Amino acid sequence: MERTNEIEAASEEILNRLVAQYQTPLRRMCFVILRDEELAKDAVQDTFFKAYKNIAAFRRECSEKTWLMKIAINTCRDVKRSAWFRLLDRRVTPEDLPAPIVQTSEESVELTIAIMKLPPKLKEVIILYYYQQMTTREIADVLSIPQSTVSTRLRKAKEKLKFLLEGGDAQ
Amino acid sequence: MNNLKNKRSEQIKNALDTTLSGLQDDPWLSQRIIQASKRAVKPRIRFSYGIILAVLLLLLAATAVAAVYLSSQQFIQQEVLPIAKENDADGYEEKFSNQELSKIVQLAQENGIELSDDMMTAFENGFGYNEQSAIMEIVSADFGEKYYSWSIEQKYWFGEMMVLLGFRTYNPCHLPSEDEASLQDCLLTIQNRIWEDYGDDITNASIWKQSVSFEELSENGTMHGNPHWYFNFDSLDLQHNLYEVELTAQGEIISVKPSFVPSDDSTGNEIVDQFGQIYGYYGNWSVETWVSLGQALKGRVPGGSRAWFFACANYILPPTNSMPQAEAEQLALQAVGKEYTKVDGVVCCLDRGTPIWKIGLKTLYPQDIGSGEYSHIWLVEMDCFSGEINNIQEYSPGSQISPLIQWVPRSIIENPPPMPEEENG
Repeated sequence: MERTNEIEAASEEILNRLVAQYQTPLRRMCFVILRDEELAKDAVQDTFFKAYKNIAAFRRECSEKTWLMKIAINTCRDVKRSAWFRLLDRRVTPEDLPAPIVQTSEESVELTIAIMKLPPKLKEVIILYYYQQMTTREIADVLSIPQSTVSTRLRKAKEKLKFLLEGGDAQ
Repeated sequence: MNNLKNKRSEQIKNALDTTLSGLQDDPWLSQRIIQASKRAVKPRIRFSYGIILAVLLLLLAATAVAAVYLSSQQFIQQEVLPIAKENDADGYEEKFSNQELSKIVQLAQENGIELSDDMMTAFENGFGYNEQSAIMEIVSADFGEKYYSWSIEQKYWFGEMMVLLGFRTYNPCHLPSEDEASLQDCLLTIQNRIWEDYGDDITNASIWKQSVSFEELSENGTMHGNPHWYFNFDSLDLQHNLYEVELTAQGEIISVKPSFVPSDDSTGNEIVDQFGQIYGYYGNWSVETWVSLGQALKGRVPGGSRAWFFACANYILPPTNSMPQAEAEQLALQAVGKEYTKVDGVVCCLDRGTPIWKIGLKTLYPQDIGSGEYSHIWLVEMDCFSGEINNIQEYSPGSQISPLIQWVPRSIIENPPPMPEEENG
């Protein structure tokens, strides 16, 4: 750290902590949203890059996690607007998933694929609510929508998920 | 969180965490981002000499009040800044050339200003030096090493320097005007609020370290419109709450955010985060801090692999008759045997029952200063008593290694004990 000035050193410390804490869940969230390993990798790197550049400006009006998720969701949306993303095959099959390094079950694979098949807006709330374990209030902040809209989307997402799982217990 | 949400969360978390476990983390992500950030083009602003002169005069007048810091500030304003601006005339250079650095070194010696080891190394090896880093390092001798601990006057002054140099388009730091609340007014308000709501006396300097800024910023980097006060009261131990307080410019409290001391049901990862908030980057933690962490993690649900690895590492204080830390560091430096190498983090722990020193070292060759990446990273594990080196590993940026390997014995990284089942999902 001795090569950098102290502002940078402080920012680097925060970045190291954020990366250690959030890299894995962000990577998985971005993959679910973007359905592409490389795009997810780039989106995570871009998210942390934007966070690092704005660490000094982060005013802590919301929690660090909410702030980071907001950046990540917006980054994924930017990626999805790109011409390249529109060329991707959107069908999702188990073969499209990276080979797991820990044991997983067939039900888990089906649930993951069902979530990945959800429409983008519903997928975002499901991931933020259940996977990132955020409150509807925090999700409203992340997505810049009213809390009531989050609740509505959440309800629709659960119905859709249940439909996709064809009577599974994702109620 | 209700039970239904808990159940669904667990189901979805387990599904994604196992099915997508093959998505590999990038152990060098932080370094890549820092490097990319340094390569990014910063906006530069042209100023007329008239404006520069006027602002310099204004700054000189302002700093005359703060006589304690006059010397290094004057040195920056009168000697360093003009060189940086001359430099700009030849293009949008952000580095001092070695010729310019040579001039700064000479002027610093004449003015009794001590320059950092890094600056002197760069100078002696004929390399230039980053302008912003140079200014930061020169004033940090007077202001303090950590930017966040600087006073609002110091942050304001530094912001003005950055604007003059073109590193920023505006100065986010303000000084309160007459119709705005003073620092003391704000402190009194906060002191009363925290005492009433939480029963803590944050004026006790032996427990709380205070830092403050008066800034005009928003979280996405755009101007907020008016400055707010931001106070942090960091607990110097793990027995008291931490507080973040935001106030309007007029001194009205917007929010008080306490971070409570670890509770009985805090997970290991939450404990690690709290240590991080207090002690910062792992590389700066003392051996005693690692031992405290180990004790705090005992018997807790890990909440993630990071805490689990730390809990398994068995951090200890150096046993009686063991080699002192300073001596162990010297041995590690000798074992690496590379110039420009420095120690970056030391832990003392048990490796399969044997006390070891685990020492991280980083080599940064002068030509790589400012590149954003260390040239090499070394990890040395040695017997605490004999100093015998059990393991020495060299990593270059891009190596695929666990980010925890610097703080956890290799034997645990390579053969980790199974994490409690309920946390594996």
